[in-house]
Amino acid sequence: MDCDFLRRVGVGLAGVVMVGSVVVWSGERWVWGVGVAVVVAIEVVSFALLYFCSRSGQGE
Amino acid sequence: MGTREMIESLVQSPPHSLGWAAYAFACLMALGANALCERFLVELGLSWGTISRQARWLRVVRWVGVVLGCVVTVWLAEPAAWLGRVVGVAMFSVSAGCDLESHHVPPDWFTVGGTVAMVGVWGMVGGWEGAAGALLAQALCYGVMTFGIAAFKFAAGGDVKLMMQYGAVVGSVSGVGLAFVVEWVVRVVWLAGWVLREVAEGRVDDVLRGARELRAPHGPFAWLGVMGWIAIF
Repeated sequence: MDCDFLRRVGVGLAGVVMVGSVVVWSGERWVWGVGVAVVVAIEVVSFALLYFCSRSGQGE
Repeated sequence: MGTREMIESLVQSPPHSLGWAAYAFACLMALGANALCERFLVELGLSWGTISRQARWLRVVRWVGVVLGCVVTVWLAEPAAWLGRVVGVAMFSVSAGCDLESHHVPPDWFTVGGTVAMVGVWGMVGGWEGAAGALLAQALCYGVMTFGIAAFKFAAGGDVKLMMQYGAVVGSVSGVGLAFVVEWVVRVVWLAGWVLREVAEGRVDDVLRGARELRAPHGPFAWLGVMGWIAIF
């Protein structure tokens, strides 16, 4: 796997998480259910990508 | 609040009718946090016997600071939030204490596990909205830190997990914003103090060369940010 690319994807998703968490927080309470789930799901994917690439040490 | 009123509020009537059991619980949590921090530091090769005299003083400061932090948290908290806050402060004290003394954060099981646990704690305290607030707060911290490290390289990778725990401990996006402002005010004041001291002692070259103080551990400042948030809210 190309970890350099995966790392960029992970960082990009982290940017989505950063913006998304503020958007969901400032939205109506009924948005929270879906919004929180989506933000956390993206965060988990981003975290997993960055964690995997930091452990494997590829793409340096 | 004057000194006398402060003492009266502590001695005569436990504030917010929390009772002395809450203070005992806070002390217990602080002792547990300090003991766990000791264990992580021993794993890093920093037991009491191996560290310098200056590092021992730093360790004493950490023990006292954690106990005071937990007690003050109970003292200042509203009845509905004290349990979540004191558990959070104790948990974050472990991470901040390790970072203070070793410039390392605790193992992943503690930082990531602590984040998940704090979401559960806020869920128990505030129901679904409490858990959702903590999830969003830790997600914001994760995003800001990861993006910031990638763009500006102002911290190390371990700080991402530290900040996730920080967000989950504070438990709300607005709280994270406030704690972050407090943290940076403290950081700037501390940095200004360092620059003034260096200039006063004639070490201007150190100031010009050294952004070394900017690389100070993130955890203790974040801990002060959390305490500032507790004091204000």
